[in-house]
Amino acid sequence: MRPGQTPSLAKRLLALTLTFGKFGGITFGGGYAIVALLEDELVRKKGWLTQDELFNIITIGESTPGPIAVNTATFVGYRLAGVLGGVVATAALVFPAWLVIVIVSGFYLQFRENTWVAAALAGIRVAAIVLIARAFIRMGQGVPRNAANAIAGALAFVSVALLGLNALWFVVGGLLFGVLWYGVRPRLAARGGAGP
Amino acid sequence: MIYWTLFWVFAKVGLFTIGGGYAMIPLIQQELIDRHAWITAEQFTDFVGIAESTPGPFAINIATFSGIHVAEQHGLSPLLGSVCSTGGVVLPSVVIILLVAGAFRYAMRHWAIRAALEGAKPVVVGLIGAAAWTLLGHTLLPGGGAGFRWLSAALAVGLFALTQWVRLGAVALILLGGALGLGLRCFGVSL
Repeated sequence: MRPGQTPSLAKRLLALTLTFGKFGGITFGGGYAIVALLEDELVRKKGWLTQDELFNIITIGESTPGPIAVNTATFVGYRLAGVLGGVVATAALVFPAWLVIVIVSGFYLQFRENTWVAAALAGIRVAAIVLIARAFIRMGQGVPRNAANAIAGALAFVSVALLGLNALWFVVGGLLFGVLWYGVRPRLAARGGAGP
Repeated sequence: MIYWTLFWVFAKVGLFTIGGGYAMIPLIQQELIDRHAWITAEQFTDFVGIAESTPGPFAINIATFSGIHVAEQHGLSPLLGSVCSTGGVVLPSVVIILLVAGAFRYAMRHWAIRAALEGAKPVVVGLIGAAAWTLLGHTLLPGGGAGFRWLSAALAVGLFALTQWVRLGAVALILLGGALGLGLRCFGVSL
C-alpha cells in the first residue's frame, strides 16, 4: 500500500479492518504491545509504514490524549485511507475488546479464577514481553548512533522503568531536545561558519 | 440520563489522560467511585484485573466493563451503556488524532517540527524498553511472596532465542505463548 500501487478504497478499508481487528483481539500487556505488532506487521511484513513514520506515530500517540493503541490506529487508518480509514481502523480495534468484555462481564469472577485462562494468559504475557523487547531492539536500530541520543534514550528508560516517572514529560523533553540539538544547533553552526 | 452521563464521564477520561490506559486509572476512580458512587473500590480492582486478562486496549476494556455495570445497576440496557462509555473514551482521541494527522503533512515542512520528532526518537526507544522492563518485572516478580518465576524467565529467554533463529510473526508468537501456557498446565505446571 505504498504510493504507486494504491489499491481501491474498499480494499484498503477491508485490509485496515482485518489488521486492526486482529490487533484488538490479541493485544495484551499495555499500549506498547500494539507498537510491537505495528512494527512487525505494518513496517516489516506489509510495508504500509516506514519505521520513521512509526516513530512519529508513537510520539504523537504518547503526547496527545487518549489510549496509545487508539491513537495509533486512527493515525495509521488516516494515513492509508483518509478520515474514513481512521474511523474504520479505530472501530475495528475497539470491537473485539468490547465484544470480549460484553461476553465475559456476566461471569467475570469465574473467568478470573479459571486456571486454564490464567495459564494461557501467563504464556501470552511472556510472549508479549519478548515481542516488546524485539520491537525495542529493532526500533533502537533505527535511531542514529550518537552520544546525545544514547543519553536521551537512557534517561527516558531509567526514569520511567526504574524511577516510575511519567513518560509524557520525557516525550515532551525529547521534542525540545530535538528542536535544540537537531534544529537550532546545526543552524547556529552554519551561521557561525558562514559568518564574517 | 445515565447514558449521557456515562458518555460524558468517559469522554472526559479520554480527553484528560495522556500516555495510555494506566494513566486513566486515577481519573476513572475519581469519577466512578468518589463522584458518582457507581461502583466500590473493590469492584474497581476486579475491573482492572479483568481488563488486564482480556485482549484489547486496557482503556477500552475498563470503559466497556464500567458501562455494562452502571447500566445494569440502573436497570438499563448494558449493551447501550457499554457503547456510550466506550464511545466516550475513544471519541476525543479519534477527533484529536484526525486533526493532527490532517495537519501533519504541512507541519513536517517546518524544520523545527522535523527536528523535534528526530529528538523524540531515542526517547521512544527508551520508553519501549521501559515497557518491556516493567512488564518483565511484574511477570517474573509478581510480589505477594510468590518469589522469582524461574520458569517464566526460562520461557522468555527460550522464546526470544527462537525469534532470533526462526522468522516468527507477532501473532504467531502470541499464540505460541498462549499454547505453551496451556500445554504446561496440562502437565500441572503453572508459569
